[in-house]
Amino acid sequence: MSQYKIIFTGPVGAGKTTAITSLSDVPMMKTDEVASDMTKERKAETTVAMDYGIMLLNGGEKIHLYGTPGQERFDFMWDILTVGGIGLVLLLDNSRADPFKDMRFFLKSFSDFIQNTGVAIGVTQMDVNTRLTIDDYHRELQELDMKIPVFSVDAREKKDVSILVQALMFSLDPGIDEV
Amino acid sequence: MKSKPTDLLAVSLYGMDGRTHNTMILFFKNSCKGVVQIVEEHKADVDIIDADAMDAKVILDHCLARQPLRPIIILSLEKLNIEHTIYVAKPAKTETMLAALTEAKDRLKKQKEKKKTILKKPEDSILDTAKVNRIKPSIEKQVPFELSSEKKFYSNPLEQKKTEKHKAAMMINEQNFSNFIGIISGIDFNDPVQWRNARYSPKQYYQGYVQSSIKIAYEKRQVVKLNSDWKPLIILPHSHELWLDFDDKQLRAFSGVELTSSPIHDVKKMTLSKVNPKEEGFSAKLDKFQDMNIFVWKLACWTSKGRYPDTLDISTPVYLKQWPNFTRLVVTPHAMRIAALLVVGPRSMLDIIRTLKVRPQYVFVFVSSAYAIGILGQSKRRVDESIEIEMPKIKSAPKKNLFSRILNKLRGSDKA
Repeated sequence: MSQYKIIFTGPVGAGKTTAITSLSDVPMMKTDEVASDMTKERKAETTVAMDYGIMLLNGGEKIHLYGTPGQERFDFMWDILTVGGIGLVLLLDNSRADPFKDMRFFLKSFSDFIQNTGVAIGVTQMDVNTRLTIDDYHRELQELDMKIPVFSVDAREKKDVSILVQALMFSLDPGIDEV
Repeated sequence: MKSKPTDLLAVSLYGMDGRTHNTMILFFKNSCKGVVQIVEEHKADVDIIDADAMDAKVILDHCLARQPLRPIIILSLEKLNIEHTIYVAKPAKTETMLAALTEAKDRLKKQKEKKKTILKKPEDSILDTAKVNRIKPSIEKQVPFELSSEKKFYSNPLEQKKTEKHKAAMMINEQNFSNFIGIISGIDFNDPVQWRNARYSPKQYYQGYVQSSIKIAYEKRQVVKLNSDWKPLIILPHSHELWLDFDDKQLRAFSGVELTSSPIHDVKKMTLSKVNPKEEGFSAKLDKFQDMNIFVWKLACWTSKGRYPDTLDISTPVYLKQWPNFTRLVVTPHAMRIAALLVVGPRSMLDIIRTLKVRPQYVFVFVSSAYAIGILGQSKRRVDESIEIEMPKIKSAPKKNLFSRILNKLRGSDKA
């Protein structure tokens, strides 16, 4: 049976671990540990290896949910992670200093993968910091000539994460039948 | 020597009516020559707010939240000591204003220096080429990405209390569409000939009044109140919010009434007035704030009832500028499929119905809502009409089946 993955990426504290927890049908394997470097200012614990969850489909098939390590010194793992991936979920934290810079960085880092699959962006902390709106993100993406889903997301809300992944599926193929 | 435009401090003015705005422009032109140029909000280095304006508090909150590091100069008759702002007493004197502008310039300079020390060598973190599909894999190693040492920016503690504004989406499926949206009589949607008649004029409904009031509020940059013989609606253009004291049930009922021919409602009572937030006292009721787009989207859904706006043509292609923010909107049946299809290229409503094999109401209601919030338009170019855009056929059947099963799982119909 084929192994299918959905990859969750984004900067430290953007909600990758929480988002995977929201969707996973099995207790998630967390590899968070107490941060000892600069990331501790944003998050007491941070993902040093990867997060892993599973979505169980009818018929026993599994969709593996992988979260990339938040710290970029582990970026060598990203290529390995994306093998067999069906799409990318990029989570951005609206309260960070420069979310657009984060967005460009991750879109570029995963550009090959995105080109062959698809991407959907979830912006977290929109209720904490309102200086950038979803329209601002679209304007920024327009400069990159990209029309991709960008939604406000509370990673703790299963519905939010679910809608984001649904949009990813539809952007991969608008012809999928709805139930 | 004349200063170059680049030396000028880009300033945006807030809370001023047309006359005061022009007076300020003259003041800067004559008294603060060569120091300031007035620009639009998004291009400014410094904000200047008239704190005696009726909506000054709202404007200040907006400026602080939107551009927390941008220096703000506050003009007021009474002495104000507000954190992060520079005070200038009214009537503004040249010396005081110049001193405030110098302080603002110093703050900007300090921020720039600070930024430089934090962000060393960001050369590889910027997308140089416009199209992602043109990006070649980078051979060199990515530079370390270390924004994580930066502190969080200004956060607005009141924002989280605006629960209605940040409420999760409402998913409407085919089974409960009619209950949610309401039924329109006189049109048989099973008869394709009748689809062309499934039009409505937003202007004749509450939707039209709300949309034109929003337009005026933005043009005047003024908080306004839409009065009616029903309940008032306050429009806050600076924060893209609305304030209303009525629930969805009431709104749904009211939005479906054709006001221009209603024997109960008097459209003459539909008036627009300026708002003094202090007097209205609405700012304290935070749970009554709603995001403007979310509200208008919802309002258009209930006004449309599965029809399309009469300003659009059913057989001319429509285009979608961007994906709607589906996690906060009412998601009607097949809305995400329609959005995904339109993002690929313009299509007529008839073509969408045919391609996706969905009921016309689902297409019309989506088009109505997206059009109402300004993210959908009708193609004017002939080329869009003549090009038949193929459905992207990129996925193999097994993958399509997989995506479909993932979707069922996410929608809760697959209880594996």
